[in-house]
Amino acid sequence: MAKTILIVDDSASVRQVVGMTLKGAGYDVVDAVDGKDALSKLDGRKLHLVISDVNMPNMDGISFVKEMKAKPAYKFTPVIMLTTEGSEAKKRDGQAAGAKAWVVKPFQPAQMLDAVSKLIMP
Amino acid sequence: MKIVWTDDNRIAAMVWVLCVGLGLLGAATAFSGAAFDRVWASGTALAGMLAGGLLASRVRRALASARREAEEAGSTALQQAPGGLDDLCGEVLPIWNRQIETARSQTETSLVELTTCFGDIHQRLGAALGLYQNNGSGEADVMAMLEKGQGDLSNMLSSLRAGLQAKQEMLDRIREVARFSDELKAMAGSVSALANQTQLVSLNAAIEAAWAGKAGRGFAVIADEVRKLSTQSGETGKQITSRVESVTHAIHSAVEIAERYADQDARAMRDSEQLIEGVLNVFRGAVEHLTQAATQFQQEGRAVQETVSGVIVSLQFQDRVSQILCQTMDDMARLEGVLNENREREAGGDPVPPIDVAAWLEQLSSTYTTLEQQDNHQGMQSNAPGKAAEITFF
Repeated sequence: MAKTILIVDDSASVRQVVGMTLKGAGYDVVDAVDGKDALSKLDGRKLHLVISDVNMPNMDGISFVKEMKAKPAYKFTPVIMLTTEGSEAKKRDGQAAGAKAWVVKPFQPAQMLDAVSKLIMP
Repeated sequence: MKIVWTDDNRIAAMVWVLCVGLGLLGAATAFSGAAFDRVWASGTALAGMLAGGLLASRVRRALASARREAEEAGSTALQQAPGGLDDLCGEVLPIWNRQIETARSQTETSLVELTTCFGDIHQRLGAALGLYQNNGSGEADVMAMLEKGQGDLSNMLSSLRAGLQAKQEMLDRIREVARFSDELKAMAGSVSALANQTQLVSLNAAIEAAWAGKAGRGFAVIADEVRKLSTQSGETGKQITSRVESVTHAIHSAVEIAERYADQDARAMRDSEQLIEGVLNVFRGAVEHLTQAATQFQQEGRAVQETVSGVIVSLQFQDRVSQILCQTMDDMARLEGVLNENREREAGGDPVPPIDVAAWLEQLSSTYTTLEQQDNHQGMQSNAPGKAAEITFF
């Protein structure tokens, strides 16, 4: 059974590129347009990994990851932050929120798949 | 640093906002162009031209429209504005904001369509290459089948050669039999000659018995019997000679026919060998040609797939462009808010506080998310990301 990955990004083109990359590698994909939308789509759903943008309307990626990690069902769900942000301070915020990796856009599909395969839950 | 909100300062602020806004728009457009230059350089000329043409034309149209309408709006506002620059800004800034948003949303829409198209191409190529890889052993199978066929045909030719060899041996035996039949013919002739001589001896014995008179009467009887026997032997010898001649003739005929067929078989064998070798060479050539074509297709397919992958990566510039434009729009909206507030103060007769430009710039800088924005803010040449960054694992 294919593993499920949640993509959270306000950019439709980025959601599409990431989704296409993951689907091509055999993963199931669920997407959300911001942190608030992502929280509403958790709904007890089994997620093996989350890829989230940082700067989004309504709820940013860091806040989303914090709220998601506060839920027992998603405490150990690995998170990759995919963002244009490259500052060390933001990276530290992401790490503190519980992210396992930080990818600065634009990403290479092979690099993303490599990171996903390293972090995804069994 | 505190400055007084004079007309000159307002003009300076306006020029600054205009320069920042248009400068960022220009940078975004140039950035998109650079991305597609990279795409063209990587070899997807057609796809890159279509993508670049579509995006560039849409963005150019939208920006040209934005500039044109902004100029018209500015002109109208200048003519109608009772309060001068503040009123102008109050009218123009929302218009600029909407124009930028239109350009941004049109770019995003086009990018999504392009990403979908390239993603489809990428997936189809992957499926085709995967199909080839799954059937990649087919080439080896065909070659193995060809080799096996060649081996089987060689075995068959060996069996035929063995058959011809056996025929040749049988022919040699038949030639030996023919030689024996000649010997039998000679022996039958000897038997006839012996019978003739015996008859002469018996005749002489009969003559001698007649000379002996009564005493030779018994011997005459014996001589007569010997003569009869020799006559019978002579007849038998003739019959043997006749039969041996028939057999010898039949054997010679058989040898002649067998030799003729042996020659035909040998020619047929040589022709078969040449034909089989020719057919196998044709098949071998066809398989090698197909193999080369398939290998070239696979290499080209991989190259195109990598190029398309590069295009998809390049299309991610839209997210950065969108963030830069949104941040610029937010700052323009902030300025619009301040100007509106100041106009209300002026209308109410309240003093208008000066704008702290340094604080404004500091706040503006704090909202940047990309390195290009920081570079642009400091008046440096923007370093657009040329390739994907490394991944940081925590």
